[in-house]
Amino acid sequence: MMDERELLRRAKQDKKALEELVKRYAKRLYFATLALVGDENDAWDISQEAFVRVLRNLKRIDENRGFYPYLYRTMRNLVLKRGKTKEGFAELEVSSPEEELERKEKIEEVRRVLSSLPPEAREIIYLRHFEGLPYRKIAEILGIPEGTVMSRLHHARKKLLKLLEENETS
Amino acid sequence: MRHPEELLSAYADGELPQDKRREVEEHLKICEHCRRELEKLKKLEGIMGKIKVKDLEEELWRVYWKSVYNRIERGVGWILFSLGMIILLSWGGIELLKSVFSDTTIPLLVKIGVVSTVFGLVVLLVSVVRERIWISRDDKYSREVEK
Repeated sequence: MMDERELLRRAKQDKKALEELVKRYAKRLYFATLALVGDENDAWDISQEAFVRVLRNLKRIDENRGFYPYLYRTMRNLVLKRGKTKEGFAELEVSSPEEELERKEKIEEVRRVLSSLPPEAREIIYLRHFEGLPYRKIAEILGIPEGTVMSRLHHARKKLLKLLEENETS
Repeated sequence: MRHPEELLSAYADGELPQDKRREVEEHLKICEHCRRELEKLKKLEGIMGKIKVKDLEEELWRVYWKSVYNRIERGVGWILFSLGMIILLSWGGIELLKSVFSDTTIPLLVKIGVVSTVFGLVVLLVSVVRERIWISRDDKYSREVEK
């Protein structure tokens, strides 16, 4: 796979490289947007609009700085500007077929609970648990200090745990 | 006793520096409440570690790229179209104004109507072009790129 810096440099002149750049980050950005807005159609539309805005400015992007944080923050600004979020989360499945958590109802329950969390909580849970990012990377993407990541993540998990426990007892 | 709850999450994630980790470990030795909290966090990690988001069909990702590209292309198309329209309308407008003003049979009110229509259209088109070209300068992302 081509190094990100090289890909960015080429994407400034070459349509094929531009296509590769979009394809490389499309899934990440789409699912991250979905975690934030909670609606598939809105996520499809807003994530694409974020790409369009970033790619229009591609020539001004410093290749030595990460591309994804720019892209992510553009998407986030668009979401904030539209100010419309709903309950929702991406469809989930077991990460490997051997996993015990095979039961479809359990996965659906987790999805339901994730969907009902506030957008900021869904966002940070998504970045940590589904993208598997370290705090440093999350802080870079969201443009906040690591301490804030720690605290937001903790509160999001507390809410998630509370809702899962309530579901178990009901 | 003050519980270092926020630190527990980071501790479970292995994200604490050495000194804070030791601090949490010391606290865990004497605090039943925090040990239970940590257990819950680990259980949650156990659940989340076994699931992932379900990918969309590959065909949809091809459509995604095409859609992004079409949007970029459309943006350029709109600028060119609007520029062309400004030129044509300006020329056509001047011609129209010349003929309307040289015709003494047309009432003054109609002449005023023609003038405001022509100028209104030109102003609208200039505004579309300006918005398309300079939209990026107003968005937060661009300011960040320029930093």
